[in-house]
Amino acid sequence: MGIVKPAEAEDTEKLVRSSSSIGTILNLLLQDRRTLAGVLSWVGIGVLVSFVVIAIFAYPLAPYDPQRIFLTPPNQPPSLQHLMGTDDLGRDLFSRMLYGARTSLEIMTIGVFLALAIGFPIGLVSGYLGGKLDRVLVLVMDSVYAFPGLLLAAMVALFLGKGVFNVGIAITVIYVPTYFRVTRNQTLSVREETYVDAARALGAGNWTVIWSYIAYNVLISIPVVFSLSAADAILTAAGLSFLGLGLERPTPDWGLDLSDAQKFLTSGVWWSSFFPGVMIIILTVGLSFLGEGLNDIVNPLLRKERA
Amino acid sequence: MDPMLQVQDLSVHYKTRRGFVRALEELRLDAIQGETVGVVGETGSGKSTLGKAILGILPAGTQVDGKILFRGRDLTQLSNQMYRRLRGEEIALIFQDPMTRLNPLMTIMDHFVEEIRDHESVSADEARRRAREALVSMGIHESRIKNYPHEFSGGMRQRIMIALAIVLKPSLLIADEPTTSLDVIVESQILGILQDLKRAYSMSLLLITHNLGIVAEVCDRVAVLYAGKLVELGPVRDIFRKPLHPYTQGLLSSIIHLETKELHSIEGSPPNMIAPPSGCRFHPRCPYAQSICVERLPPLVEFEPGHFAACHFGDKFL
Amino acid sequence: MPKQGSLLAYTVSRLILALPTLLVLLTVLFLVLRILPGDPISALEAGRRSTRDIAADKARLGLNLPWWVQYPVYLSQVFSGNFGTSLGQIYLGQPVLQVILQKLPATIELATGAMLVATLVGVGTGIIAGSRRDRPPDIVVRLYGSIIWVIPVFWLGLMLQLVFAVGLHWFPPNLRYEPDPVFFPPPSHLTGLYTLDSLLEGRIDKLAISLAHLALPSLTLGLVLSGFFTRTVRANLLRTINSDYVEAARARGIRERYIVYRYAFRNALIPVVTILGLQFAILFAGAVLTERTFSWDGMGTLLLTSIDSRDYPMIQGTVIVYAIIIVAISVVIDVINGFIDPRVRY
Repeated sequence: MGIVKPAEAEDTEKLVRSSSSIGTILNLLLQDRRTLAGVLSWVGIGVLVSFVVIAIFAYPLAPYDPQRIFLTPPNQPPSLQHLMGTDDLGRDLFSRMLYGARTSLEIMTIGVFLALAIGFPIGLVSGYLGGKLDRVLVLVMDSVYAFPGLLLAAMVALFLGKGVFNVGIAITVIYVPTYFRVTRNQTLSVREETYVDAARALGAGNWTVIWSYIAYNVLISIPVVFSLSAADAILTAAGLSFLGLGLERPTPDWGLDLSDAQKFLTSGVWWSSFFPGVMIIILTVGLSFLGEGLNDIVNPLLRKERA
Repeated sequence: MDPMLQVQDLSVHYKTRRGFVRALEELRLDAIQGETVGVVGETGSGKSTLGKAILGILPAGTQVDGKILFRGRDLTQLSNQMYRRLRGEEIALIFQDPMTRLNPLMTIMDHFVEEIRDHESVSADEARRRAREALVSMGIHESRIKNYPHEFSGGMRQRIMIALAIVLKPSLLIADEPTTSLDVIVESQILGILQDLKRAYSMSLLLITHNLGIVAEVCDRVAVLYAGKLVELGPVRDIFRKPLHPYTQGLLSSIIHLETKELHSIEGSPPNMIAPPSGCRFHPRCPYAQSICVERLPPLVEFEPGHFAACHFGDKFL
Repeated sequence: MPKQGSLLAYTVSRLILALPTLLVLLTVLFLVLRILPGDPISALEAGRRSTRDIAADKARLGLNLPWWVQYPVYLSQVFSGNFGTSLGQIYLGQPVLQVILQKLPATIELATGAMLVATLVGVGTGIIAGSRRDRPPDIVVRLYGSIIWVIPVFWLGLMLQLVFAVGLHWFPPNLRYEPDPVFFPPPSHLTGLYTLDSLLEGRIDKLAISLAHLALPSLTLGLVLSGFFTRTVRANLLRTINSDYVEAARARGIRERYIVYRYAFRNALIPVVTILGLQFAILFAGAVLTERTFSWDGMGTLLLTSIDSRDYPMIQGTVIVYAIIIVAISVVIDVINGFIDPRVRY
C-alpha cells in the first residue's frame, strides 16, 4: 500500500539525515510532544534539567549549610523549619538533599562521559575493521559485561580510594562495555549500507568512512543508551556509598546519608532514609523515562533506515 | 449446481490509527464444487483479506459486513466454537510465505497430531499414521517427520503447509499466493500438486495470485480486484480474450508478450485505501476516464453470459 | 536425529566456549586486584599499620613479586581452589574457600527466592500488558516496568522493612533466622539452605521461620529485578501474538488456548531465557546490597566484612568465586536454552 519510492530517493534521504542525527532526534522530540514516547521524553528532560539547576544553584536554594549542626536534639521529624527533618547529627536534611544532587550528577557525568569517550571509538573501530581484533575485544567486553558491575566498581573504588573522581572512574569501568556493544552492533549494520559502499568506491579512506559516514549514523542510538546508563550509574554510585565504598563523610551524598540513616529506621526515624531514596528515584526515573521515550522515537527511525 | 461458496456484498474495513482502511468493498463471488476460481489484483487490492475474511481470522476490531455463505450457512453468524471447527476441517488456507508459518518449537509431527486431534477424536497412533500418510503424499520422506521446521527448505515447507491444509480433507482450499516466495521450478511443482489434489478430492480451489500466467494455466474462472472492488468476473477464456475493464486490459498487457517483447505497465500508483477515489476507483489511472467515472460508481453488469464487469463503458469493449 | 546426543555435544561446546570468558574475567580481576594503583595491601592498610608490617604481609602473599611471576601463581591458585587463609580478625587462619562455601548457601537461597519473585511478578505483569496492548492495564504495567528497575534496591528494602517489619510486624526485620539459638535452634546444617534443611529435617516450624526471614529480602530483590521480565515478556508476547505462525495455526482451527500457550507464549519466553544470563550479574550485585540491608549472612556480607577488616585473600577469593558462579550460570542458561529451542542446538 502507498507509494513505493525508488531506492535512490531513499538513499539520498538517508545521506541527508545522516549529516545531523542529533538534530533529527531534536526535531522528532518537538514533533512528538503528544505521543506517549514524547511525553515520557519531555518529563525526563524536565527532571534532568531541574536537577542540574538544583545542583548548580544548591548554595542559594538550600536554606542552610549542609554541614551545619543544629543544637536541637538530632533526628527531628519534618517541620516547616526543616522540610525533610534533620539527620542523626542534627543537620538539615533538605539542604543535604539539594547538595547531594551536585555529588550525584558529578559522579554520573564523569563516569558516563568517560565510558562514552572510551567505549564509542573502540566500538567503532572494532565493528568497522572486524577480524581478530574485533573478536578479542568482544570477548573481553562481553566478559566484563557479564560480571556484576557493582562488584567490579567496588573493587576499583576500594583500591583507588574514596572521592567523587575515584568513584566516577570506578563507574566508568562498568559502562565501557555497554557503549562498546551498542556502538559496535550499530556499526556492523551501518557498515553494509549502500552509501558507505559508495563512499568507499569513491576512494574514501577507512578513517574518513568511519568518522564522516559511520560515526554520525551510530551516534543516533547513543542518547538512549546514555540516559539509561546515566540512571544506572546514579544507582551504582549510591550503592557504592551505601556499602561504604564511595564518598568520605561529611560529603552530602544520597547513598551515604541513607547508609547512615539505616540504623535509626527501627526506632521509627523514617525521614532520613526515605528522602535520599526519593531523590535518587526521581532523578533515575526521569532518566529512565527519557531513555524509554527516546528509544520509542529513535527505534522506528533505525528500523526505517534498515528496511 | 448450487455454489459451495457464495460471498455476498462483503465489505472489510481495518481499523488503523489514521482511519479505516477499506480493504474490501461490497464484493460478490461464488465457487461451485470442484471449480478453481482465481482472484487477481495488485498488492493492496484486498485479495489476501478475502481469504482471511472467509476463514474469519481477521484481526480483532476489523469491521466485516455482508454474507459469506458456505454450503448455505452464513459463516459470519457462526459461533467461535463452530467457526474454529470449520477451519481446517472444511475450509483450509495456504499462505504466501511458508518460512514463517510453522511453529519453530514444534516438530512437523507435532503440527499434524495437534491439528488432527483438535478436530477429530482419534488415537494418537491413528493421528501419527495419517500425518505420515499426508506428508508422504506430498513427496517428503517419512523419516523427516520428527524434524523441526528450520531443517526444511522453502519449497519443502510449502509442501508441509499444503499437507497440513489437506490432512482433514477440506472441501474448499484457499491458496494465497502459494508460490510467490518460491523459485520457478518449485512453483510449477506446487501448482501441479494443487491440481492433482483438486482432482483427487474434488475440492474447490480459490487461488489468490497476482500472476496471470498461473491463472491461465489452472483456473476455470477469474475475479479481478482493484482497490477492494470487484471490477471483472468471468470464465478465464472470455476474460483473456475479451477483457471488458480497462484495469484488466492493463493487467493483461503488462504480461511480457513473447513475440513483441514489449512490456506495458499501468500508469500511476495504487490508490490510498483510507480515502479511495470517488466514483470508479480506477478513474485516476484509466486512459478512457470520462466525467461520469469520477462522479458515479459503475455497477457490476453481466455483459456476456457469466462475464461481469464494473465499467461504465464495458459495452464499448465487447 | 539423536536429540540427546546433540544436546550433550552442545553442552560440551558451551563449556569449552565458557573457558575463555572465565579466563578473561580472572585476568581483569587480577589487573584490578593486583596491578592497578600500586598494590592492594598498601591501599588497604595504609595508615593503619607500619610500613614494615605491610611489607611483611606483601611478601607472605607474594605480592612483592613482578606481575609475570604473580599471574601464573594466581591462576594455579584459582584452578586448584587454594585461595590461601584469611587475614581478617573474624576468620583469621581459616582457609578462604572453606569460609566462602559456608556463606554461599545463604546467597543461593536469597538469589533463588528473588528469581522466583521476579519471574512470577515479571512474567505475570508481562502477560497482562502484552495481551491488552495500549489499554489501561498495559499502560500501568509499562510504567511499573520502567520505574521499578531504577528504585535503589537498598532503599526498597528499608521501606519494606519499615512497613512490614517495624510497622506491621508481619515479618522479622532482618537476619536469616531467629537470633536466639536456645529457643529457636536453626535447622541442622546439611545443605546450608535453611528452607531445604528444615524440610529434610521434617520440621515445618523451622521451615516457617526460615521462609518468614527469607520473604522480605526475596521480595525486595525480586521486585527490582522483575521490571526486566515485565518489559521483555510484554515485548515478545506482542511480537509472537501477531506472528505468522499464530495466524496460520488459527487458520488450521487449532484451539485458542493451545495457540496462546504453544505458539505465542513458548516462543515469547525464548528470548527471555536467552538474556536471562545477563540478569544474574544484576542479581548478584543487588544481592550484595540486599544482604547488607537485611544483615543476611551470605557472600555479599562476607565481602563487605572482609573489606572492613582489610582481609585481602578473602576479598580476592570472594570476587573470584562470584566470577566462577557467573560463568557457570551462563553455561547452564545456554544449555536450558538449547533444550527448549531446537534451533540453537545446531
